[in-house]
Amino acid sequence: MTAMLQYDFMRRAFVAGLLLALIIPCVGVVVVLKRLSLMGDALSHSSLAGVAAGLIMGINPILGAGAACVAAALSIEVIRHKIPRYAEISIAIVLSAGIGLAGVLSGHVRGAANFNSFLFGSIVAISDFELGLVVGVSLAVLLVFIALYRELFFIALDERAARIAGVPVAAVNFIFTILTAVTVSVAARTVGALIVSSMMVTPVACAMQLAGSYKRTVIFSAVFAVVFTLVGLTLAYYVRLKPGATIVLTGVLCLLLIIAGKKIWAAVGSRRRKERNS
Amino acid sequence: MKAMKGLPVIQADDLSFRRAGEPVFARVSFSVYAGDFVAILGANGAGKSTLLSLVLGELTPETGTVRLFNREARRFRDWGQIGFLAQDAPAEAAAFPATAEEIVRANLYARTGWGRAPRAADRAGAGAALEAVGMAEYGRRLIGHLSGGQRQRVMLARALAGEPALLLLDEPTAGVDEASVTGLFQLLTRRNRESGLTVVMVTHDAERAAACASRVLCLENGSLLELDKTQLEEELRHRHRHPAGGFL
Repeated sequence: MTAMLQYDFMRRAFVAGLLLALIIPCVGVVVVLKRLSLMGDALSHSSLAGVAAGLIMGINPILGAGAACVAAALSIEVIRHKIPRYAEISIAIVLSAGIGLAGVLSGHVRGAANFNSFLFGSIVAISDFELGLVVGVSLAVLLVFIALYRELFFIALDERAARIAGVPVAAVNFIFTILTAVTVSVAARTVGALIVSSMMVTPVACAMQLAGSYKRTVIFSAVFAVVFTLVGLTLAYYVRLKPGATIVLTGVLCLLLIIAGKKIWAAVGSRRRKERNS
Repeated sequence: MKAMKGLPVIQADDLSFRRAGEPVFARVSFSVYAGDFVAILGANGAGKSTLLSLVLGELTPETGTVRLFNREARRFRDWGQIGFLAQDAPAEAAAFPATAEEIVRANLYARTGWGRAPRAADRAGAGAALEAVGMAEYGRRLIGHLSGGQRQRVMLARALAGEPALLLLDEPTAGVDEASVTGLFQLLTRRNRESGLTVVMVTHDAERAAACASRVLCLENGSLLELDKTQLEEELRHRHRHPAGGFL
């Protein structure tokens, strides 16, 4: 571990990775509980269109990704409200449009390597500007998430009841949409556009298996994401794997182990009860 | 929170509403006064839930006005005065990873608003609401680990947590066992009589409504009628003649 941290690029990777591990599940908890788990996918694919546009126009691709994500997230919200009974359609539409646009624009990008680095991320190659962006966005997302904790909980639980209790639902949803878009666009550069959605959902899925309350679900999600990042980055360094993909696979493996562990625990408990009764 | 007995809490005048171009009801007027226990009966699709949405300012009527606590419903902001329980709320919350206590406390927002954490007294109110519905010992349980009837009681506690002056319930007995329905009506009757809580309940349960409510309104064929005792008895007989797919 110490040997790995001698390198500046690995220290940066850990700082960026751990900050993102804290904020992505905060956004992820609300996204999952609002039954919009694929929103991360739609946004990250749309971010690729922004990356391609940024590279073509000669502006920073992360800024392009951010703009595309915000536009995509707001489009999802608009369509979701137009077709409330089939909210998931909004995600499918934006996802398709994002992929289509990214496909068309990527054909005009010079230097495909830079574009491809956004597909699986390049957390060990982030610049000072990008690290600064991760720090700034992480602080902003954490602060807003804490400030709107009660509102986001109530909206995710029951949007109508929240509105009747006086929660400014439209304003909170708008802020949350921007927050999600900014998080996804920054994370796309580090863990990769194809993987960020999984980072948003997997730690939350693990936490939901074990937590006994909403508060614990949020805390456990962040703890899981931090552990996945630490394990994933370390494995990636020593076994020479792609960091973003390794982080996500660590998470998926952990989820499978938790599910299997719960099944075994339940079976053992049931057997003990039967033995006691007989 | 208690509204002064006898003052109008809801005033609906000349309400008309259309859904997809089709009239749901026309020229409907009614008032609910502080301390009333009003049951709204009607067939499926008669517009009972729509009427509640209009009262809550969620929908705009084609004609007419609704006033809540003497303010136009669309401009009403004093949400601490209102408790609301939707028909599907208990089922929708079933998969949510939150404890009964967390769910009840959520509604304290109506009292505190943005940026203010609930005070100890508010939190105690949430605990008291859980106790009132007989769910105090289940406060730390995940909502998904409770039965349908228990979830419904937690949702009722959520609606009562802010100690509202007016409680609106949209078919709160749907999908709930008989014992829980009886308990719900008993609790509402007690709160109405002892604390003066104004209750407006959309329900299909005409018999219990007749026994517990102080007034019964019936929405039928686009018009709203307040039933007196004789009319109510006729309605009950009518219902008994049509047990399957009948009017109520």
